[in-house]
Amino acid sequence: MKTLRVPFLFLSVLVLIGFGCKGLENTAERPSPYNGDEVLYRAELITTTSYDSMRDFVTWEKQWRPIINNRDVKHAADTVRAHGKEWIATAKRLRDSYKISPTQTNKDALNASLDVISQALAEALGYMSKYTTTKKV
Amino acid sequence: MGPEEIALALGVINLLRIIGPKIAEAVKSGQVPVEKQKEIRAAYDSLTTDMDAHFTGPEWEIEPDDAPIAEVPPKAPPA
Repeated sequence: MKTLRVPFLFLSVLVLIGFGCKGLENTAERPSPYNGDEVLYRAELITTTSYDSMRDFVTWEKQWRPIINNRDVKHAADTVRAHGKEWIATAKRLRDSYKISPTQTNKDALNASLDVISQALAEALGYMSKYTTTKKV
Repeated sequence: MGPEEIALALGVINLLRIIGPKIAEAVKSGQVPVEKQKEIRAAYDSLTTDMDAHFTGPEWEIEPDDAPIAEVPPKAPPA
């Protein structure tokens, strides 16, 4: 089941990422803070949304740990606790590099770091989904 | 359809309930308005300016697997 669920969730996150931007409003009267750069906007959108989701996940896991009673879930949350800041810091560093030099190489590196965050988020969403629909109390 | 398939279907439905509004918001308009861009920029600046503060708190502390649990929640975990 897990092999089916996680790819689906990951795909859903990719859908969110892929459709997360359909052009930025950017006119002389209403200038974009991103100068119309969708890559930068998307990077910041994913970073902030992922942080919110990671925080929600670790809070949820800690609050409901006795009910969940599954070490795999705790270990997934502990992975986020241990590496979440590092993931965000890496994404920020690569976002800064892209902003300074918007090359394809820097863009690919930025997207790769966002994929790492997205995969952790997909696992978190998977656990939250599973334990809020199938766990009987 | 067995119990696991039903559980998966319910899981998918619940997942869509969680992220569906975000996807809907993302695809409903042709362009991202400047106000929304500024909102994201402000959230990003807040997060990255003081990362330590954002990753501090009891929910971010890694506890041993066998650590005692302070209290038992009264009902099933919400989404």
